[in-house]
This record gives sequence, C-alpha cells and structure tokens, in this order.
Amino acid sequence: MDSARWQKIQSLFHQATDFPEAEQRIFLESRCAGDPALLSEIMILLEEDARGASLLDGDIAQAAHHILNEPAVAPPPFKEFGPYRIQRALGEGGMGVVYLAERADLLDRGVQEAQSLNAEPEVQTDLYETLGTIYQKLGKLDQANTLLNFSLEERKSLYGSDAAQVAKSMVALGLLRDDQAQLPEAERIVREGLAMSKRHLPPNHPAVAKATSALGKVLEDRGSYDEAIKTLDEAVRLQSTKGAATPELAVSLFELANTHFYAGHYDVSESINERLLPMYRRIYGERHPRVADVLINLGAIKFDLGYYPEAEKYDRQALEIVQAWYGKDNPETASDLTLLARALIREDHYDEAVDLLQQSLAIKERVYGKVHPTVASTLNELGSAALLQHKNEVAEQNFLRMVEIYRQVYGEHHYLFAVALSNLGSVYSSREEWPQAEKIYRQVIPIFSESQSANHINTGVARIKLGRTLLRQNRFADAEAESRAGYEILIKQMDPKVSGLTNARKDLAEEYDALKQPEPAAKFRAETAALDSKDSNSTKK
Amino acid sequence: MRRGDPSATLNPTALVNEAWMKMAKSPEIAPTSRLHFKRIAARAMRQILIEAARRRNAGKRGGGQNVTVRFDDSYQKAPSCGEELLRLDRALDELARMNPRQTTLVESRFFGGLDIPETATLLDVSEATVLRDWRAAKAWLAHELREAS
Repeated sequence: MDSARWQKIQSLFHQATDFPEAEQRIFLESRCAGDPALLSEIMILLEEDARGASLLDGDIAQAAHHILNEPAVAPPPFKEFGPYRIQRALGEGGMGVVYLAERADLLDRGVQEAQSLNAEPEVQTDLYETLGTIYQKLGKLDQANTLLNFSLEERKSLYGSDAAQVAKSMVALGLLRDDQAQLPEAERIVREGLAMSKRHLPPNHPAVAKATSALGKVLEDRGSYDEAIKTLDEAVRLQSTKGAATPELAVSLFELANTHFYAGHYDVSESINERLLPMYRRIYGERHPRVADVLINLGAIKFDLGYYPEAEKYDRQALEIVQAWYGKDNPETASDLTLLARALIREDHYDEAVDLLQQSLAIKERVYGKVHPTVASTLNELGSAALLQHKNEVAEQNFLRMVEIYRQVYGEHHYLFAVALSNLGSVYSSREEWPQAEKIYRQVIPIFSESQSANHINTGVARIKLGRTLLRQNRFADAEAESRAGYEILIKQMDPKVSGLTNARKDLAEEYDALKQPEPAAKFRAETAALDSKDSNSTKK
Repeated sequence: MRRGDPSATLNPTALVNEAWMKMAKSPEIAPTSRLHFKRIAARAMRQILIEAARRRNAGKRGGGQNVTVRFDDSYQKAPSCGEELLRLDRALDELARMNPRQTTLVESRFFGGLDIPETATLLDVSEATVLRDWRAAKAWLAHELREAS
C-alpha cells in the first residue's frame, strides 16, 4: 500500500468512528463507491479497533520480561570442521570430553603456528581467517572475533584499507556479528564488504557472489525477507555455473529456501529444498548432517501444512542420518527424535511417539540435567500423548514433573508454570475429579492474566476449562460466567472450527439449557451446526 | 541454568530513566533533549527485544519449547511472545514505508512507554493528532499481526 492510500484510509476510518457502529458501513459505502477494496480495508480497521485485543493493547514490559527471561533453544552445536566429527561440548562421558579437548589442542596449536608465520604474512592472514571461522563454528565467538580481527587488521596493513582481501575479512566478520545476533552491525559490515569487493573484482567473481550470499543471510536473519530473497536470488544467479553445483551455491540455495519458508512461501521453499537434496548428497555424501538439515526442512514444511505422514517420512530419514553421525546420545539427535514424535502423535501413532520421546528425554536429562526447561518441553509432549491415550497416571507424572521444573526455574508467577499446571488440570478433568481440577484452574487464571494478559489465549482456554469443571458440578451460573468469558476471549483470536471451541459451544448450550435460557442455547447450537455443515463440504487435507 | 526473576517487572519508563540518569552528566536537561533521548531509547529497546526474540527463534525449527495450555482434547499452538514481537517488527517496517512519523509514534509509545503529551511534544503535533494516529496504527498493526499468525 502506498502512503497516499493509507492516508485516505485513515481519514475515512476516523470519520467513520464518529458514527454509531450500525451506521458506519452505510457512511463508508457512500464514500467508497467504486472501490470495494477500500471499503473492505476500512471495515477491517474498524473491527480491529472495536476488538482492542492485540499485542499493542498490552504491556511491553510483560513481553520484554518473557523474551529476556525465556531460555534460548539449545545453542546450535557445530556440525563439523574439515574431516572431523564434532561432539557436543556439554556431552558427558569420558569419550566426549576427551574428544573435545583434542579439538581445543589442535586449534591452539593452529593459532600458535599462525603466529609464527610472520615471514609469510599473506598465508598468516588466511590462516587467522580460517581459524577464526572454525572457532565460530565451535561456538567460541570471542576467540573467533579476535582472530577475524587479526586477519582484518593485517590485511589492511598489507593491502591498504580498500582492497579485495580486506573485503573478504569484512564479510567474514559480518557473518560473525550475525551469529552474535548483532544484526544492524552485521548488515553494515557485510554491505561495506560487498561494495568493496565490487570495486575491485569483476561482478561474477566468486568472492562477490559469496559476499552477496552473506548479505542475503543477514537480511534473512533480520526478517527483511523480500530483500533477502532478491539478494539470495542474485547470489544464486552468480553462483550457478554450467558445471556441477558448488558448496557455495548450495549454501545460498539453503538460505533462500529458509527465507521462503519464514516468509510463508511453502511451495517455493519446498521446490528449492527438493533441488538441494541431490546437490547435498553429491557434495557431502548421503549420510551427512547437511542432508539431514534439508530433510528436516522438508519435514517442517509438510508438518506446517498438515501433511503428517509425509512429515514423518522426512523426519525419519533425517533422524537416521543424525543418529549415525552424532551418536544416539547427542542433543541433535534428541531434537530430531522430538520432531519425529510430534508428527507421529498427529497420526495417532502413540506407542512409537512415546518411545522416541522417552529417548529424547533421556538424552536431554543427561546433557542438561533433570531440571531444565528443554526437558520440561519433552515432558509436555509425553504428558499430552499419554492423555490422548487415556493413560491418566502417566500423564499426571509427566505434568507434575513439568510443573516442578518450571516452578524451580521460573517461579510460581510465570506463565509457563501456569501452562504446566493447566495441563495437569486436564488429567483431573479426564478422571472427572472436578473439585481438584477447579482448584487448579482458579490458580492459573490470575497467573495468566497478570503475566500475559486477561485476553490471552491461555487465559481464555483456562476459563473455558474452569467452566467445564463447574458445569460438571452442576454450578450452572458460575459455569456460564467462566465458559462465556473464555469463549469471548478465544473467538476473537482463533479459528471457530477448532475443536476446543466447538466443545465450548456445547458446554454453553448445556449451561443455558440448565439456566432456562433457550435463546442463547439455540444460538450456540446453531453456530456449531453451521460450522459442521461447512466442514463436511470442504475437502480435508 | 538461567533463572528468571518472576517478581521483577520491566517497566520501560523505569529503564529509560535509569539509563538517562547514568548517561546524563547534569540533571538539568531540557525537556526536548530528554524526549529525544527517550525516542532513541525506545528504538534501542525495540532492537534489543527483536534481536532477543530472533535469537530465540534461531536454531532448528521445531526443536524449541512450544508448550501451550491444551484444551482437553486438542492441541492449540499459541504464538509465543517472541513470535508476536517479530511479526510486529515486520509490520512496523511496512508501516514505516507508508508513514514514518506514525511508526515513530508507535515505537515511542509501545517500546518506550511515552505518554500522549510526551509523544505530542516529541513529534511536534497536537495530542489529538497523536490519539488519532495511534488509534489507526494500532488497528492496522493488530490486523497485520492477526493475518501473519
């Protein structure tokens, strides 16, 4: 949309708000004659204005508190450098620790060797850059920073501050900043490096292509997907040759596929990943983790689109590779076990899913200890699977552990603690232990309200669940208050066909029947019927 | 293992004042300079939070911590705070293309905690303008967030 149109939309929006709701459309129809799109856009704004339930209506302090206190996902372990396999730094067990010590020895020796190469400065700068990149892959970003800066400074003194070799260092440093999540700085440095390399090299030189690709990656990480796509398309164009595909081309394509995925262009992402698969197989071999990465991406696309058998197929292939490469005890393996299990749960293959989740749990407990949020997230999957199988005792154990972990890590006012409790409440509901379930939901609702918001989805779900426990105890008036409040919160944010909302409508119909209010009872029944008939007309995935 | 402090709240105004106290050499700061500082701080806060959210989202898809409150009989994935902030960031970039002043307004109010009079002074417009622009921007951004989820 351009600014002129936005101006027009706003002007009409504000004029419309002067009218009562019932008259707004009439007013707008007269002012938007001949432009139905304009009318529609303004009506959407008026709807949102009336809702008043978005992130911006809440408190940034709460959002900030969550972001800054949420644990990061497990840091991406490096995969390989050269011909060596990498074990995770935190891995226990004698072999794992000794193995990593050997890495450090080798690198320290490498740095010493580099420092002794003063007589061959060009080689020295190359070695600094290589070592720096290796440290980066090992997750030792401070050492990487030191070495990449050595390389940059030396190249400046050898070649002057504006030279192709200096550009190369800038691109490497920019990619390090990207890993350090210093994104504006990363973009600035990479842009400068790219411009510098273009000044000194022909436009289709590999170093120019590599710098272009690096910029694309940084833009992707900044979320500037449109520009990232343009940039990566350009890198791919430069790196595509008549001969066999190079690793550099494969890297650019990989980033391009990811960018399309994040931008929601599933078809494009899928076709690029499908192109990448044989490429990686040829370049790295069939059993290489990079091949697994592509398979996981394909699985993620299928999962997001709801094609669970296909997701399972890809996840399984990826898991085989990762397990063989890293071993059964590696967090990479644990991660892939969970991904495969999630697909299996969607297909109701509970036994295998549970087995995989238990393996994943064992690895995570060994690596992170028994009280870690990533362990809790696997417990959540296990608890949920158990509930779906009506194994209430197992579910209870898993959710209780999850509650305890979040209590210890985050305290009793954190929304994750409330989520765990709320899921535990599902067990009591499943056993029809209504007073216990009620107690839990009354505990969690204020936590959600305060730590997230009174209109948060979690608050809404908890109120609906509370409503149901009250309904089953025949406290109809109290039940209606909670069910209705929860429903109003969720219906504004969720797809009405979601089964939880369908069940909420059934609860409400029952409650209104009991309260002798036939009209709202009929209304909720009618809504359910209308959505049911829409469903039977639409094709299933 | 990192522990969050569940009882601490991150009040943007408190943070900004604290930083201001540290940075300012003298307590006698002109109101416009203070606002200018708040504006920069709001921008910085946006960047810090977005980068933190992005960092949380980096790493392998699906291996993270999507724990949600379950309905008794189905899975519902609620967007995490991080994901919503990332979507907001993108939507704000889009808004900046249409109306840069309005984006500054949203940043200052949402990330920086500036109130209406402060925002009006900062942008050199009337309070009525601030209220109108805020209302329209909020509605548009809310729709963008909903569409993206």
